[in-house]
Amino acid sequence: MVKLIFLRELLDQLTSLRFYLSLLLVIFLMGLCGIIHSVKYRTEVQEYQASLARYEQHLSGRTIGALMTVHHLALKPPWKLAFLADGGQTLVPNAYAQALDADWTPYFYRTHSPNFRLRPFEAIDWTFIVRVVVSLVAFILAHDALCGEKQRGTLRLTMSYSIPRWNVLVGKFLAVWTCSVVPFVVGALLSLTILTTYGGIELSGEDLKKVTACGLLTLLASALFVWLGLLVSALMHRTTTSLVVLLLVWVGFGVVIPGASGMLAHKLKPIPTPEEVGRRMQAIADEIMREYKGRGSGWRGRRWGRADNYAWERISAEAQNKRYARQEMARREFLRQKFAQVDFARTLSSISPTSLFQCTNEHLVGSGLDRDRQFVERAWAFRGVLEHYFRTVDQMDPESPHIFFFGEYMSDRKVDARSIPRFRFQEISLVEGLGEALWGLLILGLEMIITAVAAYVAFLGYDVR
Amino acid sequence: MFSTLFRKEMHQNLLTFRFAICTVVTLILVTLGIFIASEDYNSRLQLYHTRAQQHENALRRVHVYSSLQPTVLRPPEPLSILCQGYDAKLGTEVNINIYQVPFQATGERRGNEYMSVFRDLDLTVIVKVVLGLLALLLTFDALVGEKEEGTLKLILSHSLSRATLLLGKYLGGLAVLFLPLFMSLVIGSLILLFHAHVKLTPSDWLRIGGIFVSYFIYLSLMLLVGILVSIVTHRTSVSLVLCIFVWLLAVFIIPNSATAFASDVMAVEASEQAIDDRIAQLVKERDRLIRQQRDPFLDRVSGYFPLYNWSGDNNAILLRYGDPQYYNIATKYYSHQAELGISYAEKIFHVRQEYEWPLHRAARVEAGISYLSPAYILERLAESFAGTSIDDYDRFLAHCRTYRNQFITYLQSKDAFSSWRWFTDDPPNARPWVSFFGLKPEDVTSERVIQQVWARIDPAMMERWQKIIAQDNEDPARILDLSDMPRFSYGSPDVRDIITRSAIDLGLMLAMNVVLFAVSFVLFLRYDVR
Repeated sequence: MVKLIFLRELLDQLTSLRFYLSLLLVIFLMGLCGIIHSVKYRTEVQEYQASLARYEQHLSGRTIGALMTVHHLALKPPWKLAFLADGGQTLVPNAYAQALDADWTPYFYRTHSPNFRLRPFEAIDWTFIVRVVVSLVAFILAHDALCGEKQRGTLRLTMSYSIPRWNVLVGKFLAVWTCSVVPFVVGALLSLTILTTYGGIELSGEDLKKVTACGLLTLLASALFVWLGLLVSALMHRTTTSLVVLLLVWVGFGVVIPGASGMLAHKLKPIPTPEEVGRRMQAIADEIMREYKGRGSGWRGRRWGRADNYAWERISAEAQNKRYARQEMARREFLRQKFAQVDFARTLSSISPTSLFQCTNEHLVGSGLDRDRQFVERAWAFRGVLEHYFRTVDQMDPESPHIFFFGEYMSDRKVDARSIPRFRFQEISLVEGLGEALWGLLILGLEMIITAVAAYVAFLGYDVR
Repeated sequence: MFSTLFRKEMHQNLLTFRFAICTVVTLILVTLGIFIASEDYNSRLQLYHTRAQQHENALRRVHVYSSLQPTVLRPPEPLSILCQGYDAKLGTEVNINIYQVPFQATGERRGNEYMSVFRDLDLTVIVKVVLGLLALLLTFDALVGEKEEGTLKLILSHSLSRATLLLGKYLGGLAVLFLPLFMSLVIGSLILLFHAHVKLTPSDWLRIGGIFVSYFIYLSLMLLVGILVSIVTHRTSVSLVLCIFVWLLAVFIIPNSATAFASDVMAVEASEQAIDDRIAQLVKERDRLIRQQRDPFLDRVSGYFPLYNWSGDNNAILLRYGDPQYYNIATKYYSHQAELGISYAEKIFHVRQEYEWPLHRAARVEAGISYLSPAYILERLAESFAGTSIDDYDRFLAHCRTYRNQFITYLQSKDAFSSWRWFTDDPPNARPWVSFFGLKPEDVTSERVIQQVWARIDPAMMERWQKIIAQDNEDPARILDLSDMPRFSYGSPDVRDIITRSAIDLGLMLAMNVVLFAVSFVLFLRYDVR
């Protein structure tokens, strides 16, 4: 019986105008997504290689000492799968420059700044399409599944046969779900085709698994939206009221809750202003100067310090390295506060299933804040690798005073640029992503079950006349 | 008859569930959004005052014209609280000097760059999304609904013209929409008046009026879209679905896709790096030309040499305790340096403009596609009235360039480039440093300077020397009197300018209104009411 109802409902939906409008819109956006990301990825790869090439130029033919003031580059590579969930990657820093000399402040930055004349926008990726279009399509297709039939009077007729109500509900759910998912699947295949042919992006096995995971999550999310639509449909008596309610719910989920959470996070979890950070940095520097009683910055030069085996310089280096370490800790703490603010805003906005979907999807495929965190932590850890390397090569030179990491008091020997360690970025694997996304998945699943049960209960008590 | 109809429409709409929900949501969001925006404004304003004070203080301690490089600031725009636009996103400081034509404002980016996924909700966004939707929800069933219920037939059986009916529906909806809009504006103004540190001028109120009118025209347009859709469809459910698609496209899809397309597909041909390289080339060339003119006399250590030598950004230099003969030769060199600096500044600026040109082109593509969406036009209009558009940023930079020209004229009027005062604050009867040792300039040559001078230096003398420098730093006669220097002024845009600038946008919106109304009217005349 479920099958019959499913087929009839499917036929109804497939012949409706709204289905074709949805199909058209989703396919258009998915095509656009494919084109945009193909071009973008190509440009990003070029920019990435150009930045790396410039850095390589800085490395070659230098002495160990001179390499202390070179800003060693940690660069976040372009990401093939940005079309799944961009996660605001184009706006956040993608590079970290750090010199080992403690007098040079490291900084995060963007290698290629976006066009400042354009408006802020959301990247057209699968997440955007699901969050904005597929969810709304699910609502539009589901809104009259029950109350529409009631209005037309056919529901009464159907119920006059000996069909259990859950059969009707499940049949309808399956049909509406299929119809809301079909545009997504067709569009997704289209965008994948564009990406692999026009964009020349080669997807590895792991990448394909992530794509599939993203697709499955979309199926789960759209099931939730369809059940929500059916629930409202079973509560209302007129189709227009049902759709208006769903529309308001959608605005609440997609606009109001994320917007309000962002603003609340600014207010409730404020981050220090640049001035406060500057004052903190100064305070640390002053503290060190006091600790070393003004002896923390005496540099006499390589020639003059030799007499007493660089006694002053050793103290200065110790003081400066200590200041650097403390300031660096404060800087990292500041960045972690920024991350915490975003986390807070995300947690708040997860009340909305659309935001929860976005968040879970980013966790799952390893995008957004998770990728930024991964990059930041690795970029910081890169310093340790560099320090270890330069310490080792410097120790090999008996003439060097070995005052780390002040170029003037280190070896004058040249190093082979190829032997200097380079920054390596490791994308988050699907297994790690699943671990991060677990809670989101559970909650989404739970929400779906609850809505389904609620829809069933509402439908049981529905007056079909 | 018309007034009855109008009142009926109003009452009917006011009592709907959708109206209540949308109004409540709007008011909550507006209060929250404007409150947070005003706090942000307050902190930016405070920063502006601190910085302005710092720069003003710095101007009171300028000794020579070469280090006179005022920094000008763009004050935060009070109406950014209602429509943020580009106001907090771009730089606000510009250093004015002869070596650079202002091309961009700098300044630390504030806030959390990782929060960019969470868009701030200002009044304009709320009107665009929530009230725009409400407008459609009020009219999607205006005619088709009455037809379904059969009341349309009844109404028109009275001696009521169709035009009156249509007008009544339209104005009834408009009157209802006026309510949440007006309340939002009142809330906004109250927060502006009592929470934000703003003193609103009459011109500001006019601009707020302009923003309000823009909102109103937009909402009227959305109403008319709803009416039109309700005429061309025969079932309310179809009408509603169509309206939702229109809204989705206008508010979310078109503007976003256009920007994404312009940003990522319109490749910027000239990369930043290439531009930086070309500029570095020009700077190198300039410096080579400058060096060529340098008299070897200036580099030779001698009794004529100014012992005190300080240099700063953009070739700022302060020399002291040299011999007049040295200064006379230096004058020629530095005036040449300044002249080349000014002419190369123009060249560098042209290269920068070349880089900007693809950015402008991408922005035009964005605008070209986005003009399909009234929501985009609304944003542009509101930004223009609020003074937070990208044009206002350009206007600020144009002001800076004009100011730089005034500044150069001022320097010329002071004969700054070709006088000692460019590089030294020593008086005309300057005594060269060797006179401290009882020597004459011609006695000290670079070969003999060590025997003659270094041998005589002792800690007491160093201390005296430091004291002299400190005294001279504080000497009022050595500080430039800048009371007649032109000052930079920049304010919010003038209402008349805004209207001229956004005449096209305004005209377009109004024309869309008229066309939609006319089309609706014609279609309604032929409408089968049964």
